[in-house]
Amino acid sequence: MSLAAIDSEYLTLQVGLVEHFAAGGMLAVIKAPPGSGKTHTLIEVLSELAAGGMRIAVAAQTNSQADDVCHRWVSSHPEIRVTRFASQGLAPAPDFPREVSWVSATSELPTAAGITVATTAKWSLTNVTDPFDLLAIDEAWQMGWADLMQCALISGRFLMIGDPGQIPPVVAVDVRRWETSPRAPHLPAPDVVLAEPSLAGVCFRGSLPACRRLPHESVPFVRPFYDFDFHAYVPPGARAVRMAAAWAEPLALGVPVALTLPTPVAGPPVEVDHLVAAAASDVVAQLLDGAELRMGVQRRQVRPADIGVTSSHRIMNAALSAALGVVANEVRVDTPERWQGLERPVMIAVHPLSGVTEPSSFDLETGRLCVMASRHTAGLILLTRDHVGETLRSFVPSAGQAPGRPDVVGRGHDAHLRFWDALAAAGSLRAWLDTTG
Amino acid sequence: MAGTLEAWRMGRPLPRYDTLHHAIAPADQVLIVAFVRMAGESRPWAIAWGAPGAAPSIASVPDGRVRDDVAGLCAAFAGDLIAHLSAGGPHLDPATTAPDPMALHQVWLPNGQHIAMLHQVGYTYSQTRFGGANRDLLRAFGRIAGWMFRDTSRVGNQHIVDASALLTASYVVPAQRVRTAHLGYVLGWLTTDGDREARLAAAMAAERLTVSPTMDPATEREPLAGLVDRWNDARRADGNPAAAAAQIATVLDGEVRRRWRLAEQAYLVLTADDRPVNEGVTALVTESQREFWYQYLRIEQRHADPDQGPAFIAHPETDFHGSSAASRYLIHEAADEGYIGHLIHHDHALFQEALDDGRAFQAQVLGVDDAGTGRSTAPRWVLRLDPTLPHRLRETTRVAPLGSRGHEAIVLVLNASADDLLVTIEWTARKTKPLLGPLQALPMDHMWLGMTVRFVLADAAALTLRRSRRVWSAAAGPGAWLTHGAPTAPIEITGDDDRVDLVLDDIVQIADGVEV
Amino acid sequence: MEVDELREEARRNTRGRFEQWAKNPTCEANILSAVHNVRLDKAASAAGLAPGFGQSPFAIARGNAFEAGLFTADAAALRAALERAGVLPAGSRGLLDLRLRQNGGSRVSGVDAALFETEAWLRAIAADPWQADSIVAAPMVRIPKGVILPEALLIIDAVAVTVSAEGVRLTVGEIKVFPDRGGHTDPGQLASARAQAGVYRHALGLALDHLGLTPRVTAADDGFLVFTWPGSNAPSVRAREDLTYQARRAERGFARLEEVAQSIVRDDDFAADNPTLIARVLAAPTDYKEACLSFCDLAPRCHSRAMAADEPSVLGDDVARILGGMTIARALALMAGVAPADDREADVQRRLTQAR
Repeated sequence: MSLAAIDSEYLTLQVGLVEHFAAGGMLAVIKAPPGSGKTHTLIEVLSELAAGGMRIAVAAQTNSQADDVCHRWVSSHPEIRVTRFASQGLAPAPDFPREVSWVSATSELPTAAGITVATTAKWSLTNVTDPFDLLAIDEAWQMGWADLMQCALISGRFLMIGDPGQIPPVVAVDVRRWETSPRAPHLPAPDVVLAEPSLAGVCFRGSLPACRRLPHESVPFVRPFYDFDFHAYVPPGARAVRMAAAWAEPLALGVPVALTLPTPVAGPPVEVDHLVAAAASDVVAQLLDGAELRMGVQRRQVRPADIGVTSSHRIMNAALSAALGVVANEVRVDTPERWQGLERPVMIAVHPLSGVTEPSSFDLETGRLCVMASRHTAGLILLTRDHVGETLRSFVPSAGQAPGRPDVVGRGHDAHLRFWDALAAAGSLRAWLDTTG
Repeated sequence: MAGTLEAWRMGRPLPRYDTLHHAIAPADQVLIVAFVRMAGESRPWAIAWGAPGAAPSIASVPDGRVRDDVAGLCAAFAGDLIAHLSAGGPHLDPATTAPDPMALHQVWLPNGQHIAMLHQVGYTYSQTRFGGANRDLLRAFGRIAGWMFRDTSRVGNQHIVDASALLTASYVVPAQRVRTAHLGYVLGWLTTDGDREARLAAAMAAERLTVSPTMDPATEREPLAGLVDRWNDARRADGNPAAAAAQIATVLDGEVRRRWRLAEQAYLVLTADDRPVNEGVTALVTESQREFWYQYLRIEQRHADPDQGPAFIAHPETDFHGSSAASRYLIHEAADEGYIGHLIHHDHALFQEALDDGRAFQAQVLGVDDAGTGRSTAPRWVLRLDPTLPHRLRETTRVAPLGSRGHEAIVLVLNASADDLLVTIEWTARKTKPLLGPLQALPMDHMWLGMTVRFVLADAAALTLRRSRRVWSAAAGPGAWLTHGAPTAPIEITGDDDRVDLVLDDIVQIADGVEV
Repeated sequence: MEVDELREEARRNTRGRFEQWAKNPTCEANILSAVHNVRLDKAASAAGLAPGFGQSPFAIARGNAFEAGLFTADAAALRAALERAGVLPAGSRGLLDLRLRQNGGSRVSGVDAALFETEAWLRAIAADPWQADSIVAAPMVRIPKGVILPEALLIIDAVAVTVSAEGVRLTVGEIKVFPDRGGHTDPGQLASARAQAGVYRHALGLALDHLGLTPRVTAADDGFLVFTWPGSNAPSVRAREDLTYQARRAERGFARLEEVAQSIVRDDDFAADNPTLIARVLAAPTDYKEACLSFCDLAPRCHSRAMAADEPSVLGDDVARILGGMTIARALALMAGVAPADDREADVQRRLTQAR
């Protein structure tokens, strides 16, 4: 599909949303693939509605996300009046835009048309005397229904936008009691809306049409994690990493590569895998030894700050940092949970099933792998023990979820398997040869 | 895992943690209950109940499928159960009068499958139209059983004890997890003298006898199936079913008594344990007593509460109304968040576990400063941590000093280098009160310099509780059309005799004012 | 029992054998037992063990009575529940009862007749959808023969038929007598019910394709489960259960079972008598796990062997997963501080010493 056609789809969606709410629409849920410009879309739609006289509350999930939204609003739509509503005791950062009003008291909330940005936590404990015309929720899949309920006082109309493929919020308590509730308090708010047949008539449903972050050739690898289709915005062949090593051939085509290490007969290390950490260190060294980053017409050598590293276990991340040595100061190493919302030109990820020979439902949850596979703008290198394919093929998923709930284990297993098979089909499964001897 | 291996090496179960994490009420405040049911049925066939150290009351019916007979059996037990639990509850609103933790009355059951029977009882009786003269008592039985079942999923609950779960929470048994769900198996390990082989043999022998309310199919095939047929034949033929009934009662008596005795044995093992009950359990009991009031006694008395919602009979399956679902969920979440915080200050092994997991840390105080302006005080400390140890600190993480629950600080800055991790914290709660512990000094006292202080991550239970209350007021907001539920219809249950029972959900009670 | 009889029984018991395999797909003894339809209780008896997974007469009677009750009087009880749950539209009509006489049916006398009538039914609704009965009890379909596995026969508990302008939609249903307790319903029983419904969905899709009826007639990706309301015999229907991945599991599972069976089944097995096959099962390597305790009568034997070999599986799956092929004695030595021999041992030692 041409860029013009994709741009047209974006525009159609934005126009549709504006018309929906301008005409009194009550509810909209928008799914966004990774790096699809959802905050940009949100700002464009809400700016138009605010310009039309609406008074809009925006809920972000963290203070830094709320600040970031304010920054972006000022730079893209300085004509819109934006207010940042924050807890008392929280001061604006030194670089916080002066154009945005900073208020802490409910009585100071603006009464005229415009945008007021706060965190979900802040909105959920605020009593407004004059409800907003619309509550727009960014990163909505990170918000549980119980959190949304608190916001029933904020507005009667809701716009939810977010990436459903990311890691769901942690639920620590026994929730069996509420699994079959029509308003299950622990579930992501958009999922409750989308599962409720009676809301179908009032809810505007849509999805952003394209992933703008990943290389064109990487997009098919993340599609199995989503239940809607989307395009690649980056043209074919535009992004790649070129390096001398034979294992890196797929990267030169924008395709992810998975480097496999043999699985010991007695089983692989479960949490801290020093061989994998050493391999990651070697990969970084090779990247920094003249690898070329191609981003459209721009070409340059890979720098440490271009590289991100991720694994599921904090203790493995510590081992990865230790293996990287001094370069670890410039290469961010973190869990996928902490990588959400971030990106790097080159990502190195330890496959979440590496070392896991008998996966649990937790292991098969796709959010971690989806986040790992969707942070790069040029190249993705996975590191893993070579049992993963056989582990997935041997696994027989069991659907013991509560009545009416989605088959998360079956879906996770299927998505993992399709991801792995796609790597195999692309010739991207490469045995890692220890170049250090 | 290390504990399991160590217990295997030692050849016996080992204590888990330094303290017991659950209240153990005195024997006269404990009712032990065990059920037996016919396979495929949801209702009891026999019930045993009584205090530890005394002979239990045992009642059964000849055929667990005969609804009226089973209702009579349940009615015989229901009065004692309700009287027992209610006697230990707070009799006034705990918002005005603090509940007495010492008054706690507990019900002990052998395992989770017996607790699931409470759920089935809730389904069967909480809104029943049947039962004749016993109908109100059966409904009350259904309501209290429903509350008992729901409260068992609240972390830190103290009224209803799953004996098997409490034993495995209190001891590390070197066995497969599936096996440790069998109370007899766990008791075999715990109460047998001798080495690993002797204990394991005793456990495996005990495992051959079922603990679940459902009996061994072999026992149902022989002798029960024939006896039940004889009883039914005699009844239909206007004969004398008494002989068969007596024989059935004898079999069921043995079965239910054995289950009851196992739960009693679990109680005795725990009362004989020389570890103290964790001091933090007192707070858990107080919380449980409040829950007992708000979720059971208050509703029995039909008092509405602005923070806890109107008095409605909970649907056995779920909370359909948005407010009731979110309120209960958030209260359970607050209980979970606060649980470790109550216990960790009084249990070194629990602290050590948190330390290994990065949920606690110890640090040397490098700096003490006051960042307050004017008359306000803002004590700040600079701490040095060992950077090689795991931690979960981020900017804005809230921490509490070990042993001084209530004091709280927030992480302002983290500075990491290869050799050092420097963390600046600012005290935010009880900052003008001396910290408990050896120094008994205020946070801003420079005597802290050079000291090593242990911290745990603070919980957000108080905030979550606030949110649980707000979901009721949010039902009046303009967004409630979406957030607070959908219209529902009563569930009709048609019995074998074509008579229809109804179950009304919480929405019709809360939104439409329908009384159950 | 002659081998032909075994194979015939195996055809009818495919679903049970498939699910038995799925409970421990890496145990060769379990694979052989499933492939050759060798009952684990018989194998256990041959090994001198007492089988422990018998069925209660009361449970069997209740299950039969419940299922029979659903289909009486034009399936009135089931129909009302299906209409309430939105599986069928209000005012639905018609029951086609394809249950075998031996299973409570009144008309269909045997397997061949059931297969014939099911095929006739599928062709008829494709030809004249608006005359379709809305509930079909016990249609029988087959999964084609593999190299190792015999052709499978499957009796689907119930099918709901809905008709629209797009064509006929068949929704498979699984009936279970256990109580529906919402989120507290036994996950193992739910998984079993969904797995069976997934096999039905897979098989029905194959049958429709085979008959060339797709897309005029389609098998829905969702299904319904019928349980009981606790404390009563009233049906409780759970509609719109997503069977996409359970159907895919069935498709992949049959292929995988065939694939792994290829490597362990011997040519002479197919001419062997039952005692020989039992001996083959008993002689096969095992892969003992906690899950075995819930279904396999041979589990006590495997437990004893694991104890004798000092295998960590006797301490549970969690311990076994972390220790892998290591013995308990070696793990204890690592815990005591001996030098680890490789990365895995180092990882195990770190975990053991950290948690002390």
